[in-house]
Amino acid sequence: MQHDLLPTPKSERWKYTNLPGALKKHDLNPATLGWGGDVALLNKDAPGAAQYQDTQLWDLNSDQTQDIKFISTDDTLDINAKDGQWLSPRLVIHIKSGEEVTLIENQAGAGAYWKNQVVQIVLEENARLSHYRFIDEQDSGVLTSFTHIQLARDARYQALSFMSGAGFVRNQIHADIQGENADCTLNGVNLLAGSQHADTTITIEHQAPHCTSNQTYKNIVTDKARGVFQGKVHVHRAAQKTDGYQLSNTLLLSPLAEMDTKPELEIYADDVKCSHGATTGQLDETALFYLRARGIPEKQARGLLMSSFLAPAFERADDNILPRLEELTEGWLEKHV
Amino acid sequence: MSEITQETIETVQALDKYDAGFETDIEMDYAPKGLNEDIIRLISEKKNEPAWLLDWRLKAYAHWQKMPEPRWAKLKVPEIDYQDAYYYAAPKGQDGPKSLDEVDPKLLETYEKLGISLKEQEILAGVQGTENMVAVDAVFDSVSVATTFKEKLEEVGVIFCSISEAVQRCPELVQKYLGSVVPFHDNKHACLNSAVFTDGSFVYIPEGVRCPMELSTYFRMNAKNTGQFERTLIIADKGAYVSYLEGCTAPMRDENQMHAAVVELIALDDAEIKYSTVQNWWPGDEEGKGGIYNFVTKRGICAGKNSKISWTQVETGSAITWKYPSCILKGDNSQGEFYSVAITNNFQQADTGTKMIHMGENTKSRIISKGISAGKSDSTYRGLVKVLPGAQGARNFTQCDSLLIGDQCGAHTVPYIESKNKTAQLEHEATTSKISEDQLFYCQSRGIGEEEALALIVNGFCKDVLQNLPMEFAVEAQKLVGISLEGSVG
Repeated sequence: MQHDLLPTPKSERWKYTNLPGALKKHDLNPATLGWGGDVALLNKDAPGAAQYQDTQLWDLNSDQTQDIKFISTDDTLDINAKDGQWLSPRLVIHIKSGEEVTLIENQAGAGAYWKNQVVQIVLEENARLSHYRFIDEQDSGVLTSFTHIQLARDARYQALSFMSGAGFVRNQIHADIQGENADCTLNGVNLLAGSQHADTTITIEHQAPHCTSNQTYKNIVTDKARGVFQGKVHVHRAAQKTDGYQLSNTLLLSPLAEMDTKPELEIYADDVKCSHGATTGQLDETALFYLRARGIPEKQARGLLMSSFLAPAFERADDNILPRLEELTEGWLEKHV
Repeated sequence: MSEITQETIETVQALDKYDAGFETDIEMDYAPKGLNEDIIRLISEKKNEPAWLLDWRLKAYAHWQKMPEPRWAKLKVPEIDYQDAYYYAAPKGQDGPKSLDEVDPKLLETYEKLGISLKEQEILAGVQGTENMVAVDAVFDSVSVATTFKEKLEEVGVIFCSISEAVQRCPELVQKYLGSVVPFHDNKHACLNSAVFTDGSFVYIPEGVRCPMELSTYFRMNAKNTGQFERTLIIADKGAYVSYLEGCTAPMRDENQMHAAVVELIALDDAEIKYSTVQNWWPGDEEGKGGIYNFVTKRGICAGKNSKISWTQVETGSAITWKYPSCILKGDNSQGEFYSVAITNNFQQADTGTKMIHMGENTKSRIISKGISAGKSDSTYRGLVKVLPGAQGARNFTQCDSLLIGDQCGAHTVPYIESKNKTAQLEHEATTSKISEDQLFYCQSRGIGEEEALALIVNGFCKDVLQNLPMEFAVEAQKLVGISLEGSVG
């Protein structure tokens, strides 16, 4: 593997995440999931290359990929890596005008591996995609995922990513909102334990007027884990009447846990409503006392408070998905609180 | 409230673009143009400095040559030709501050015109007690020309003088603290300042003393093709309190001039330093020609427990502002505050914010930043809140609001929030919006003109910050807010 092609913490967008460091310990070889694929479908050009200079992984995927999947209808994908594998899966998602699609993506693996994934999504006018991503990596697993979404007029993109497990994850999302009245909603729950490292980096480019974007990220970090949230909302001059909102809440449960947050606004249009909020802290002792005074054991009380802390991120989730989300959350809280 | 509003309207009506833009015609002493070791030796010699200080300067200069320009800010800074400027310019016969009656009347006149009185008696007239008085250190280009109320301050043990004088009078204090908060290798601009700083203010408040009056420094850049490099060092010993004000202006010119200052604050146990700035350097004209490059490194350390440092700034001038007044909260229970209003118009660019480094237990910080962009300007808030593992129970609240006036400007918010302690509670919120049509309509329907209404609303938007300024500065700042936004509507 050529380590000099990898982004390093020297670059501003990788400030908190040391990918070469995470890969150094592993001896990996290019491998395939056996999807095959038509290389002509690839969009070689990474989004925001000139402005952000952080598209090395996209280019690396373009060079390396042997697994391309084309998706235009409801689907469930399991992307499992085996020990010693370096995978470069590529998802090409195109939703036709007026169609509604739900995609469930399950990320997992065994042993030491690196999945360098690129997902390209094009939503035509009035198309709708609900995208659920479950990330459950192994201790020595590395996942870097770069998702690019292009939204046309009236299109809706709704994503929920749920991360538990272990490993080292960089989840990078870049949305280009190009048509009027489009909406991009990104929700996420990151439950981090052990020596897990999870980086969520988001760029929303508002290029058309009357669009909305929403981000709600909830993080619970314990043990020696480290969470990173970098979110950027960029409102271009033409994108008047934009409504952009971004929220990142974090609970730190252990003395060695760390959270780095960098919510960013870059705004060039004057008639907009954009705001962000970010908090880092621990559970409210008063609320905990209230519950315990009513006879609820401490562990259960903490669990209750944490479930309610996470709830806003699940708000838009489909009824079919909710039970799985709740089960995973409960399981994690049971184990780590 | 109604009184202030009335006053605001009046000041807005009496707008006079940039009334500090005149030039004083006075004979100057220049060092040769350019930057090299000889110039540094010359400056050091003129100031009759001890050897350790010259060594320090030379070390900084050697390091500066190797340092890259900081490029991370959201600023378009043209290539700076460091050789094309004078690094020392002093009014003739003013090599050191003298008693007031020896100061060139032309200089006194200049400050008078800027509304800064250097005559002690005049301030005394009609004012009872000392609490309403302000002691001023006036810095004209490279040197301090006068410091008022020195004797009065010395009665209580406060040392307030130019830094060149302090080097002579209390070298051990200067040697101990100079560069202790901002080391010379901190960044390129601070490094240049360490090499060539010519003057600035020095304040020492002894243990348990509450400084009986406001201290202030007024910086004036007058000579052409000069840069101003001043260095301010404020030390508040145990239990001391001081409120310090800083004001700055420069004549209108087509060329850009550079201002690279370093300010260091040290607060020991239970001490408090309140530092207020109204920065009104010449911002350049409507086409973006001329203006000052304001590259300033300001940092304070709450070294002792229960100490407090509070920064308040109103940034309306300068073509480019690069400034991050910061607090290192080292002592337990120490507090840092940052209140900022940054207004940019025409082609101005501002990248400003703060850093709060929480090290001690139960340290608290509060950041309120208001950015207003108009014309074709860009303003950025860039801030860091960092909680180290030892900062048990640290607390931070940050609020950054931006206001956009017109559709050609930009407003950006780049906060970094890093927490390594689970008991730390950090909150950050930011909003960006435009002036509410409703508020504007309300004012206009009551017969208030559009520009006046705008100034009113913006003053309201900034109120949280402006009310933290000492009285005499608050009025000045309100006026400035109105003036800076002139011509941004319609």
